[in-house]
Amino acid sequence: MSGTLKEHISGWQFFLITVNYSLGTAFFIRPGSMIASTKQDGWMIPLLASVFMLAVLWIWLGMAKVYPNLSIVQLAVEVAGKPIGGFIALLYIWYFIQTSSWVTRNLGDFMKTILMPNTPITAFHIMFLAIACYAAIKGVETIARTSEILTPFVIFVMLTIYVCALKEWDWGKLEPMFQSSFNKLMKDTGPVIGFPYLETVTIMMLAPHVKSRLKTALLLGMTVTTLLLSGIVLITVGVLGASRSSHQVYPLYTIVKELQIAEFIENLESTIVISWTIWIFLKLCIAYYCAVIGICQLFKLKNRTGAAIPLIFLIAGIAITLNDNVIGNIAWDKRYIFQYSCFYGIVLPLLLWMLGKFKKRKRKGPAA
Amino acid sequence: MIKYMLMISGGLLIGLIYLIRTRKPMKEIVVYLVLSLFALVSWWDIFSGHLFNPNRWIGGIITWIGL
Repeated sequence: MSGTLKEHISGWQFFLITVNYSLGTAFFIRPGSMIASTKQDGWMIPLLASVFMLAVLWIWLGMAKVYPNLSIVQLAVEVAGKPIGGFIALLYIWYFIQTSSWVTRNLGDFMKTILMPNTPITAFHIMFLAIACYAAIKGVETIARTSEILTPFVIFVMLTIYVCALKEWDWGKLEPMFQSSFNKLMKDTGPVIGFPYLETVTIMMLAPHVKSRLKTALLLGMTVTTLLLSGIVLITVGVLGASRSSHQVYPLYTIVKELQIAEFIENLESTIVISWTIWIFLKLCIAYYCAVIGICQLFKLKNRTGAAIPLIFLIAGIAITLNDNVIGNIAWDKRYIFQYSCFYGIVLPLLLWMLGKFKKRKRKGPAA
Repeated sequence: MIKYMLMISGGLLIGLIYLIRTRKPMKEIVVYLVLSLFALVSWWDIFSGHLFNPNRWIGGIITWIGL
């Protein structure tokens, strides 16, 4: 139960956490905005973003290598000292809390607009956060094992949908392709780099827990995320068409809703709701755990319960105040997400990495 | 609104009593109290009409920097 107790997860579990965290909400939310901005060329955006991410992953892995046994929060305090490092750590804790609020709000918006319009959005928030809180108290090993059990089901459902949706596939809907200029593609890639790619910096909090193959798990996880994201955009355009998809907030839901297998299996939307709920739950658990563990590490708490319980109400509150509605969220995302995520995903890790290297070299100096 | 605030406060109070009864370290109780206060402030803010929107503040700062 200790906040600083050493728990271990395998490389495979970290790979699953990477995929689940980066795809958790993006798989359902991102395709619509990508198709709206670049139409038939939307599938290229994740591929371009992943090329950019290779450089970012190099920074993250470099940062994790300086002090392999420390998380981002501990590393900040170690290399930048208590006042400045503590402030950086607080910034990261806020980022994890904000990410948890975003994830919670995405779930609430989806449930309220699509499934249960008469239920107060806070009811969904509190229920999910209570379970995430329990998972965070139990620890990263529990979350990793849950992820191991649930991911095959989610992937199976997604692949089934991929295959079944191919029946409605029309090559004509993918034309005209390659119409966007490189500059436009780069500009539209920005928000996708911000969310989901740079947001994944959160899972670097778990890096000290990974027993082996951290680099492979992270790189492979990002590759799978890119392929699945690019694939779903391609399928969405091929099935619904660019024009129709760009007007939908959740185009994947529409595809599944209209899906008909063997003329008698229809209304499969509940399966997609279950899988998305699982994905959101896993992402929320990870972000929540990182927020709790960050607080525990910064204030050197031995027990996670004291930090985890009040976060339920804090995150539920922030989830409500973040945006007025889905449209507000999309507008903010389009304008600010890249710059905001760059700060946490590139600027601060680079700073910590450089400071860590400098401090290590300084320590070695007199002996040499 | 009052009912909702009372419910949240009640829940947090039960947690606080539990922490004190099980003789948890003072540091843990202080962190619990501070986070609970933040939570209550955020809910009070919602009921009083959205005065604090973190995204608007972050957006404002990014625009002010000129990015």
